[in-house]
Amino acid sequence: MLIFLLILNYSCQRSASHRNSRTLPEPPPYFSEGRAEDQGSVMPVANRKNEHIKIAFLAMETNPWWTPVKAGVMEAKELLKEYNTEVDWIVAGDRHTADVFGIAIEAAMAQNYDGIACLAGDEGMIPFIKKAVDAGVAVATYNSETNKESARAFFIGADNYQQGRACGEKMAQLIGGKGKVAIITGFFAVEAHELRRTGFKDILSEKYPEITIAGEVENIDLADIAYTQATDFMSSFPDLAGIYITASGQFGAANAVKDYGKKGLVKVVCHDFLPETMGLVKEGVIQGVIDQSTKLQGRDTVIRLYNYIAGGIVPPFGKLLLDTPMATPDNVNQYWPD
Amino acid sequence: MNKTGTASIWQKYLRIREVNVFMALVVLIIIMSAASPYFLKQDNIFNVLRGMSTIGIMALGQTMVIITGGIDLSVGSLLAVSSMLTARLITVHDQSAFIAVLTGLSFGLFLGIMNGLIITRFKINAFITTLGMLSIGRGLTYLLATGVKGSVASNIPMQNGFIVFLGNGYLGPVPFSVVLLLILLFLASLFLRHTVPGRYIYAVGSNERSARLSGVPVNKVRVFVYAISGFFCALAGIILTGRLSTAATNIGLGNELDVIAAVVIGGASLQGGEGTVTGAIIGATIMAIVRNAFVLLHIPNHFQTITIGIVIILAVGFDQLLKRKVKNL
Repeated sequence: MLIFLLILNYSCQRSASHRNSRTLPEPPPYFSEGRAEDQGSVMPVANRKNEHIKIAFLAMETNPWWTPVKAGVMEAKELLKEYNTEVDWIVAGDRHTADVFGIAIEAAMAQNYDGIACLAGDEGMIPFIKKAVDAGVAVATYNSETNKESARAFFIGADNYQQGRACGEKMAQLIGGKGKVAIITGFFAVEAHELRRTGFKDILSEKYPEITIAGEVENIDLADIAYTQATDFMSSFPDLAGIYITASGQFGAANAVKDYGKKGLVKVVCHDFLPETMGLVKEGVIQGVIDQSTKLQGRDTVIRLYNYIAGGIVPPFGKLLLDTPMATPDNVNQYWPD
Repeated sequence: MNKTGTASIWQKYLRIREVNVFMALVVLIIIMSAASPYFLKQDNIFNVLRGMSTIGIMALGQTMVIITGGIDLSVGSLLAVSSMLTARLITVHDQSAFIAVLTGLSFGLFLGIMNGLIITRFKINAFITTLGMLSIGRGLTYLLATGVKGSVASNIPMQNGFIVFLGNGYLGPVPFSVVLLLILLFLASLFLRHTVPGRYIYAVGSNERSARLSGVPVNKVRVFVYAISGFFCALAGIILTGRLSTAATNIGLGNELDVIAAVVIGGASLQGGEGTVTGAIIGATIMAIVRNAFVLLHIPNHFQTITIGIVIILAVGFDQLLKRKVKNL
């Protein structure tokens, strides 16, 4: 038993000293933000010391949103094989909260990963990220992080507030700048959803005073609840002009519009290029879907994390904002060919 | 009529458990009708009823489970796994809707039986067993959803006419799922009130020891109620798949709380021995009307969640208050 503990202690010290021997560069200012010129085309740099590098991408596999993320990570994994780098897609759990992802960070540290990519939409993640960075592990966040500063090196994702504003602008165009609009949001308690919701409302109140909000409800990301809520809105507001859905369950609301016989009459604007949403865009039920370059959240995060560790390459901004294309019935085939 | 006679009739009515909760529903309907001109519109009423029909169907099974003194936390997951299995059989494996529905229903029934067997044979607490099944069911849902596109769970689209009819079809002006709920309510009510196995369910919940000594097959009754619960969850899952034209991986998430709340609002006692399916459906309707009120009355964001909690407490409190009044009459 004593021998086992000694061996364990030695291994831990060895791995810790291996990580600590690497000096990570100073990350960019936390709140600096912008679009990287090489978005989607960033390539791996030379592995200066040709050391073996291990990167853990902490993720979930609970819904279709993750399919393009995983595709992006796998693309990066293939690219990095030539650079003596191992990339592992690790399913942290089925919730993106700190109790799940924090434990996954600790587990990745125990497995001697040199870099960790994770979601950080929960402030509870901050101490876990600090622990990893203090131990010499480079951490990058993707998709969501809180406004409170953490020790991560950089973030890659879309600007949720601007996405909300873009959706508001699209809705206003669709309904001719006047009418009643309903908002179905995922969770009032999720920062990303709130940013989208407030962005949507802000643009309407700033530029389109003749548009009123018929109501705001949360569907806890569930399609069946969104379906019922959309139907409720349409029956209680016969003159309803549009519905904006901030998060998941979009197809529930869109199907309700179709079933209620209001296809094209009640405009639907929502998020994320998914088979369910894009099919409904092609049918003309959804008039606008904004994307968040989901695949790049996997690909670019992994490659930039490698470049940061192996080449000391510091990204131009702390928050690397991704493009957010909008698919409409007119251009849907460009983004989602048959 | 003298005072004692009036009190006696009043007492007699209030002893019927559904009456208390029905009165709460009537009060809510009166308030809503006064508050919103749209509330009593035919469209809105059917929307509310259609929205609650799947919770209602699951509440029928949950009521029987709760009457026996048990609890089924796995309902949302059993709904999801049956939904996904049915959709997968049709969309991925080209099976007929009949085979797929039959398999989906059988699988829900099977998982329900497993719940019952684990509780009765291994003497594992119902809360723990069904909590475990909640996880197993959700995991199986993800498993069934994978393989369609890579290893990430994907929603499965559902365009089969029969399944879509189950969720979205109408019989005259009434949504099919509402008609089905009413038929099932009638049958379940008849079963609980007028058949020997139905009375066994109350006997097991009232006093298990006495029931056993009286020759009631307690374990079989317990397995039966969980099996029925599993079956109803599967049925609700298939209906929901039709309504959404999609089997979603997160379908039914958190439904256990809505279903249990509906049953408890409906007058069932978590101690067992008390409860009716009619009460549970009234409870589910109350919950659905409250959610409908969020839209109709523009209830501000954060008050929506508070409102749900207040309504649950008020509805159960109203029931308890009336019970005490009856005792004092």
